[in-house]
Amino acid sequence: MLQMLHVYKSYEPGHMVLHDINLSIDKGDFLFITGPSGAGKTTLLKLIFLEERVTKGQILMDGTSISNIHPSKIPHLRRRMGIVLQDFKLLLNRTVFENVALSLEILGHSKSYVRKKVMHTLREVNLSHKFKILTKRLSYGEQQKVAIARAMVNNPFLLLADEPCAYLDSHSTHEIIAIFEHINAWGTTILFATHNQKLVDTVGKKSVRLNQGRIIN
Amino acid sequence: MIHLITTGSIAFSLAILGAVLCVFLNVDDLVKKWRKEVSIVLFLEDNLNPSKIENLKTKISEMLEVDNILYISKEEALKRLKTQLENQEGILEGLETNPLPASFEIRLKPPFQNIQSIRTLVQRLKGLSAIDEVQYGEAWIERLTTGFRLIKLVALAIFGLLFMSTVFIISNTIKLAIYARQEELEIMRVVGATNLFIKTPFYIEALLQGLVGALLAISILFGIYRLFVSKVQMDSSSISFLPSDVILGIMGVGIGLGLFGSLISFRRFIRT
Ligand SMILES: Nc1ncnc2c1ncn2[C@@H]1O[C@H](COP(=O)(O)OP(=O)(O)OP(=O)(O)O)[C@@H](O)[C@H]1O
Ligand SMILES: [Mg+2]
Repeated sequence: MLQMLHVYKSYEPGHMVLHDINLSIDKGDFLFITGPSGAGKTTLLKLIFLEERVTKGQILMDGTSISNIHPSKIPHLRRRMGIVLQDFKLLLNRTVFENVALSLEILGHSKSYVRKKVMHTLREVNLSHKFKILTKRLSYGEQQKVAIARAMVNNPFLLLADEPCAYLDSHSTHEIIAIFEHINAWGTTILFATHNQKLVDTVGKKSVRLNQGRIIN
Repeated sequence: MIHLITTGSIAFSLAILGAVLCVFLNVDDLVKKWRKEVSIVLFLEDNLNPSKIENLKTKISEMLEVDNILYISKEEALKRLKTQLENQEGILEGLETNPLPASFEIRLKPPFQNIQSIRTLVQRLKGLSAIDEVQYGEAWIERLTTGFRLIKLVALAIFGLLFMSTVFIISNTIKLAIYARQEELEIMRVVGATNLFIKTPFYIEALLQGLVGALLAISILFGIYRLFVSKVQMDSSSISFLPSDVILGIMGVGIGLGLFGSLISFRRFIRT
């Protein structure tokens, strides 16, 4: 479903952040991307949701290249994905509900559908009791759950999660992993970037390890 | 606050624009009225026989430019003078003969109510026999014409300047609004909002600001107009407010200003 062929990425000329990345991800995969800080995990995800463009190489999605896709098509691609960013990117002055609803509102869903779907997703991440609260009043861990809910609410075919459990305690972490496994079982492909090797080992899913921009296993 | 600045600047420039238009239209009205009253007076030689006068009258009234022609006899002229003098009729008492000449008053058809046509007509009238003198308000007609052209030019210049400065102010305030919401716009893009979806609220906002600005401008103008009319103690028929199509036009310009301003600032701002 998703292939990276000899992908290189540099932000500044002469300094490659990703070197010759070759990856093939099938529909329904649950893949961890691990590696130390600065290894290039976030960059790799950004290439997939087209926040950044490849410097060299190709990324294929369902067999077609997205490396040179026209900017106007990017929104439509992102709508079908769920994206949890390392820095959350939440609207801090809006309520929890409004943040999660955003993903659905841009699709033009009816108010009642949005309400039902958002509350259902918030229940899954154990935040439904705080739906009216301004996001800035939440703890980091709670904000992270809001970001996860926003990424899941539109039933994405591909979930890109960048350190989604960095601020969660082990109990919440395992709750989130369980949710991910659940939606994965329903067909959502998941890419999970983390530097937490222990977590990867306990969950026991496929993983690729990045170091200094190269895949090393 | 930002909205206030935008709406205020739209209102301000539209108010000035409207004021200029109002003055312009009223002057235009006045000029038209005056032009209608432009008349040429032909003083006749004394002691013409009635058939000669009648002849002359038909000859002139058949001229292309002439709308109507009125004969004023010597007696009529004296009567008019007396009514004009009102209580000072005594001045005329010593007169034994009537010193006033008989005359024709000529009104022109609208297409010929301009200085060139008047001049050529006067030239032709002077060539007729039995005409003693031809009078018309040459100097002020000319002044009126050039003055009016000047007013038109000034109005156009003011409008141009205002339009540019308002677009500048609006595009800058909208830029500020975009800056203030940049984080939000970025987040919208991450979840897959299209450019149109992101821009639409800004456009609607700009449109409303333009509309509110225009309404504000029109109400301010109307207030000033009422005040002016009551202070100068003129009946409102002699100075008219903007006609409804111009008011609609101002609202259109307001909306246009808002949209144009936001279009410009988006051009520079949103890339992907
Ligand atoms: N926008 C950018 N401009 C320049 N360099 C960048 C940019 N983003 C990332 N980098 C560089 O690319 C390298 C990889 O960064 P990236 O964020 O992908 O690492 P990461 O694996 O996600 O690290 P972490 O675990 O800390 O999140 C780093 O050396 C970083 O300095
Ligand atoms: Mg990272």
